[in-house]
Amino acid sequence: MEKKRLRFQKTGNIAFISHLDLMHTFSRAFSRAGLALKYSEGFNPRPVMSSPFPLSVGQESLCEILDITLKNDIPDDEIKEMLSSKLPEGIKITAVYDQTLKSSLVKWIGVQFRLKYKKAPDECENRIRALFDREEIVISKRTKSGALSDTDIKGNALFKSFEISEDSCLLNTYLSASDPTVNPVGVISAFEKYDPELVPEYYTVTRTELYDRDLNIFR
Amino acid sequence: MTDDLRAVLNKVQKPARYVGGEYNQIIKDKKDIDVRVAFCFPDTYEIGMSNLGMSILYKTMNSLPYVWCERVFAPWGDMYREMKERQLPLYGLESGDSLGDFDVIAFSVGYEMAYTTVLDMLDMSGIPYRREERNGLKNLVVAGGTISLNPAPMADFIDVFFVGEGEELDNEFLALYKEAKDNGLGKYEFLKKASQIRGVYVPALYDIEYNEDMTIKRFLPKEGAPFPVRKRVIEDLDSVPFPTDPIVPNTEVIHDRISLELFRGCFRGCRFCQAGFTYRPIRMKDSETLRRQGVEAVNSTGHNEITLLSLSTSDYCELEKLCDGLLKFCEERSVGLSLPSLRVDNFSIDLMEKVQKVRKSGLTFAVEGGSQRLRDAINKNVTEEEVMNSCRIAFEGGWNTIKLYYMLGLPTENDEDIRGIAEMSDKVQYTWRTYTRNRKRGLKITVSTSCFIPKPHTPFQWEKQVGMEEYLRKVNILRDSIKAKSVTYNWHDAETSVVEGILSRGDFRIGNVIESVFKKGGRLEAWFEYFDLNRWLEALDENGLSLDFYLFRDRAYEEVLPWDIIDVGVLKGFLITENKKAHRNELTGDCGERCLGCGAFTLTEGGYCYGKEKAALSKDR
Ligand code: SF4
Repeated sequence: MEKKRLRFQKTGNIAFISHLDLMHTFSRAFSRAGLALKYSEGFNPRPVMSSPFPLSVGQESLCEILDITLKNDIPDDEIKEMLSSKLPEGIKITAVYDQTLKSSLVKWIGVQFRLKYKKAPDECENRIRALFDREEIVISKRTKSGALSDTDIKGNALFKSFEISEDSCLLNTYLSASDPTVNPVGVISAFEKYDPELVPEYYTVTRTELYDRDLNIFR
Repeated sequence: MTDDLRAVLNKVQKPARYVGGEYNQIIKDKKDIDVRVAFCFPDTYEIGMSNLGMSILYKTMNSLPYVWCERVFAPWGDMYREMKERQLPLYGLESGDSLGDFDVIAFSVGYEMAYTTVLDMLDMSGIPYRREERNGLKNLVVAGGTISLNPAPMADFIDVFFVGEGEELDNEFLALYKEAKDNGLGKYEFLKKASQIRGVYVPALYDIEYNEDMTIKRFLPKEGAPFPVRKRVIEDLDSVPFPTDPIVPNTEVIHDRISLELFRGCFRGCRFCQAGFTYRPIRMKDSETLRRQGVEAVNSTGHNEITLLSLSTSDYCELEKLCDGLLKFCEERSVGLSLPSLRVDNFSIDLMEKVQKVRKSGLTFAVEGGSQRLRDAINKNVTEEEVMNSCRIAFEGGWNTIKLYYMLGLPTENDEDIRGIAEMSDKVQYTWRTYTRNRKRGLKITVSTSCFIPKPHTPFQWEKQVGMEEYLRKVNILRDSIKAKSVTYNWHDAETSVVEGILSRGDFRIGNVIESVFKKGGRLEAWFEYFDLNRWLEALDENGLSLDFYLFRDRAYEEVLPWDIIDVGVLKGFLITENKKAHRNELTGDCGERCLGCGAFTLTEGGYCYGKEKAALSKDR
């Protein structure tokens, strides 16, 4: 059994397919590529395959993980080659290697916001920095039961950089991947709560990199 | 993709169906393209992407180097509202370009309830839906599928109807279109030429004279247009391209699987069945071709299920050979094989067991009529004994879920026939008790009824349809007479049947009704969420038309019917004979043993029909 880690990008229109659909898409792609996955035991066998940090529909990523177990021993670059031509537009394999580190070691996700304003607010960068520097950043989140509950994301959402490009502003952040998970939407909610002018007319979200506790790039 | 569209996609349910980009989709470079085709399916992505015809013709049209054919589906209500609000036009999934940019807008329409959606899709794109309001060669609107069996109701909207199978016809048409575009031909000039292609019906080229009672007196073809327009069929199914690399949807659709079409046409001649008469002549595909295509398709898509399609699977000439060939492959690759529409009477236990190895599904029997007399009248060549026999085999084989389908409102039906349905269910239950190997698991019989709708080009095309009240009366009789505990009874409501009935046998005046309904908000009406009978009744009223004329009267054999303009190959005389026999409760049987002379074989150049051929062979022996 070969436990492999695939790194892939999900960009463009395919950002609009759900996590579950993506898993189906992968399992068919493996089948097209002639790569046999190990199946789970039990009544309803499924391929052993996991992508630990599900992306929300509409968000793009340059740094996704797919952990799989292959039936046969196949060199990494061959796996990459076999699979690459079998994937739909927008999914690109960037690397294949052995699973050595547990994906639970990922603590931070680099998240880039492309904020689009009719007219960018004055002092935009400073105001955003100020927001991340607050003592507390409390946002309301809907719980599974549907009720609203407040959470403080301070310490789990960090400012990285800011730049103005063409028609929009690019805000780079580190958001906590787990315990707690900070959804990018939370950052926009914080804008709404503390400085509503910062809420863009439209925005997109792209994951750029995965990091461990100490902000070292995770492999 | 524009940010505007992205913003919308972030708000709607299942946005994956609006973005394209699937594996095996066809992308071409616009600068190499002379004719852009928007291939529209007037229903949702999930339905359209499960349609085999759509997948075949997408491939066929794209095989022409100068054509780029893209897909367009109707958006669900939430997406529809968002697009309207932001004035985003409907677009092709491959390029994202608006429908207005396309040369040919081609609709595949397989059911009447999709008619208003055709208008809607044009309207969403800013294209006038009335054909007289479209003057140029660009944005030419064509349609094919079941819609062409009676084009009259949609004739105000569609420039060109394709009658019959599209694999050759579509590309001949597109070649002519390219030539016309190159030579700067006007729309009317082009239509005149196009009408000369066999299988093409151009409504603009016919005047219609009416009788005083508003039945049709006659059709007056102009400019040398043919009368009637003869259906196109493919002579050799093995020779036309079949998409072994269909698009693999990125999101769940209705049928996520490979469909293999075993043959076209049907031996059976059930008198109510439109497909049975209009898909003739019978043409088989070679089992080796099918096996190869199945294997290729699984390899190129990664699907894990193959389904064998046809009107009655058990009539396929090489079923065993095909199943043997496929099962081996399927087992190796853990691919499921499903065989819908196996018939009750030649149900093979062998086959059942073999399929069971891979996947076991419930059993469905289309019995259609509750008494032998009625089954004879509709030429459903099944006896109760045969049904019970099949049930016995099934129960012995461990099945315990049975679905029985019937129609209510069939011509000649009486209340006894309806009670017969309940009696039959009792007998099924009794059979189960006698033969099951495991009583503890219990038995589940589902009886379903739908309201019979007389369809064009069938022996029942002259018959009345029953009204809603009468249908419900019949439903109640059945409900009251079902006593067996293991039976669940489902009945389809008759509201949609009323509308389907009007549209199926509608005339040229129904176009105005469709338009009114569309204007009242009718779209995606095959979905109960979006269907509203009142809109239709109002619209009929506004246009001074009545249900009586369309549904509740017997038509005389002599009446010129709106669909007489279409010749599906089956002789009217044959249909009349069949109709008369129905009223005498007389069975005709099927064409497995002898050719009944329906006439459909004349559609092929060589006068070929598998049924006829087979009959000749068995005589020789
Ligand atoms: S041509 Fe003869 S054999 Fe063929 S479908 Fe018609 S009746 Fe049957």
